[in-house]
Amino acid sequence: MLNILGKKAEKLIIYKPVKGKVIDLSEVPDAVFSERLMGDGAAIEPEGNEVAAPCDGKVLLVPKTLHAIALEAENGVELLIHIGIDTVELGGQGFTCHVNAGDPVRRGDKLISFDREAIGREGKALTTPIVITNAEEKNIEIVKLGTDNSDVLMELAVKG
Amino acid sequence: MLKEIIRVNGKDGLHARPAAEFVQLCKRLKSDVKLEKNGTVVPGKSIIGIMSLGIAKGEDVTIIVEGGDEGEALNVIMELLNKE
Repeated sequence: MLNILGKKAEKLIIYKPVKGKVIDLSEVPDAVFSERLMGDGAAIEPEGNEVAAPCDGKVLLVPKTLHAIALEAENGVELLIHIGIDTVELGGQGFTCHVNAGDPVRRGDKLISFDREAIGREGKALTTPIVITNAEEKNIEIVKLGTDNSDVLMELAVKG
Repeated sequence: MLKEIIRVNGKDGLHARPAAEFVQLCKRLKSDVKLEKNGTVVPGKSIIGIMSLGIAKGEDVTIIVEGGDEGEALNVIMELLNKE
């Protein structure tokens, strides 16, 4: 069925990878995220110490420093979850990753655990931006953001 | 098509900010840009692709540029990647 002109946007719910308050990206104290250079999205002030898959998909990338993870949702949406600010400088210290690039994941699967105290001791904030890295290419729009107490982080419309 | 091997000099290699700047630049260019390291080729417009190459400071990467403005495109890319 090829119906390009009348293609309806697909809806995709991105759940919170970790519980916590939702923060506008513009308030994240790292210009790469606040200026949306990495893409549009939202951030969370994490309450827990575990990042779980925010949707079904596949692991695209885990850097050696284990402070971030990229996933591809089933409809091609790419997400980057970046735990903390400037945490690349910790060289992996305080992070434990439970998956590998290429692994399929289901929503809620444990991805990365982090040691709140160890990261705090190094003076790093835990603010966690979650951004869509291929929004232009896939014509993805953020329809709405979740609230502080809901499980939903954002609702996307995928038109690509 | 132009191909050039270049050493990345930024202190964090091609991570986060420089990778994002690189992608923004590639989106503005008319030419198609690809990056290659150890046989893996990724599109210049893909931030995840670039980050997956894990290019550290002092490592070499091959830039492949193809299109109408490829000469000029290669120059601005070299300028960005040479920045410390």
